[in-house]
Amino acid sequence: MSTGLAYSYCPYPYTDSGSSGVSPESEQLSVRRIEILTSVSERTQESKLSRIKKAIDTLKKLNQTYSIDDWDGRGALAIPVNACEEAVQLILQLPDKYTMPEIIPETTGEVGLEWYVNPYQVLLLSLAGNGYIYFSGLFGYKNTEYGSKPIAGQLDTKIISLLDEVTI
Amino acid sequence: MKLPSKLSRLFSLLGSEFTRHPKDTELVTVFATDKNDCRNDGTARPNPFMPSNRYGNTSCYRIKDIVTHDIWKISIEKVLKLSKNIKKIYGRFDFQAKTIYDQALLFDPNNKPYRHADIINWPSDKQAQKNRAQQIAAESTFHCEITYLTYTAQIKYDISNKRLIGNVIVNGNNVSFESQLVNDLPENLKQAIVEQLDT
Repeated sequence: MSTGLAYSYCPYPYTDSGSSGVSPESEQLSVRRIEILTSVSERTQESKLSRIKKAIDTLKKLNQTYSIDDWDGRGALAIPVNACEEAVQLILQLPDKYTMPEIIPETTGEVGLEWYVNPYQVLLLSLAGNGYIYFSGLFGYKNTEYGSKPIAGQLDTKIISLLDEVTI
Repeated sequence: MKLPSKLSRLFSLLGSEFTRHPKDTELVTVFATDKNDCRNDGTARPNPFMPSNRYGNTSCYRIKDIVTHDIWKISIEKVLKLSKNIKKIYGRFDFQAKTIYDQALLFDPNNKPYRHADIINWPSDKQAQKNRAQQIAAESTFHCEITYLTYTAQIKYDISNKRLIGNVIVNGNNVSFESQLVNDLPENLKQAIVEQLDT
């Protein structure tokens, strides 16, 4: 976030000139306020970056551990590198307001991104490395949805609306 | 000649309980073989219920009228030991047969091995499968208090320091330890070691 955002939240006009008609104490307070807001926005950005980094690390491990067939002893398919790459792409496209998902291997050879609230409120986005996002979710008792959407430059509105269902 | 034939029919009738389709309320279980099969809060993910890519069905066991210890015995003897890629049993997910019927799925009560059944009639579409598996997962209950232990152990007792040095593999899971005081070990492991030393 830029300091511009911090300025927009500042209730007092802040200028560098000393003739603002504001007392030095309240000017100091304004500066302090801007510093705090800037620091908060920087920290938010830092935390998003660290969350993305953590997600990428998880995907790297997942790629190493689950890259051979039958990793579960029940005939699970290996997870291809392409699927991990698509998962990274999706995570980068994720708007800030959504939490980071749990990253899990799926027996279908896909990377699963799971948003879980409770057993009846859960969304699973799956990436197989073929240019599609597959979704399956429960949004209340007996209220289910599943399907797929092509991966594009931005997250599909359908996916966004499903994410809203599992975001408190 | 007639008697053995009648006897054989009688035995087949007696043994056919698990070759019949389970009733709605009968309890069935699926074993967790991967750490990601369940979430941190003990709820199930869809993975363990998904049909096998190899056979197109989901393997399960019928746990009607059976003591807990014997359920875990099945998990070790019939699941863990028979698959080279299953390294550990993490627990099990119990659910009623009705959960399967509600998803328009069926049982193949093959009873091979004893109490085994396959969940069949899965749709061909992967997402439809996953959605059904999610619903079964939501209805299932996780248990992880495994009471059946099989182990191999290589242990040395250091008399002068009163310490055990060794390696124990319990249920296929390596829980090696070194220079640990006997009293620090978990009770079940201590018991396993004592039994091993006795033999």
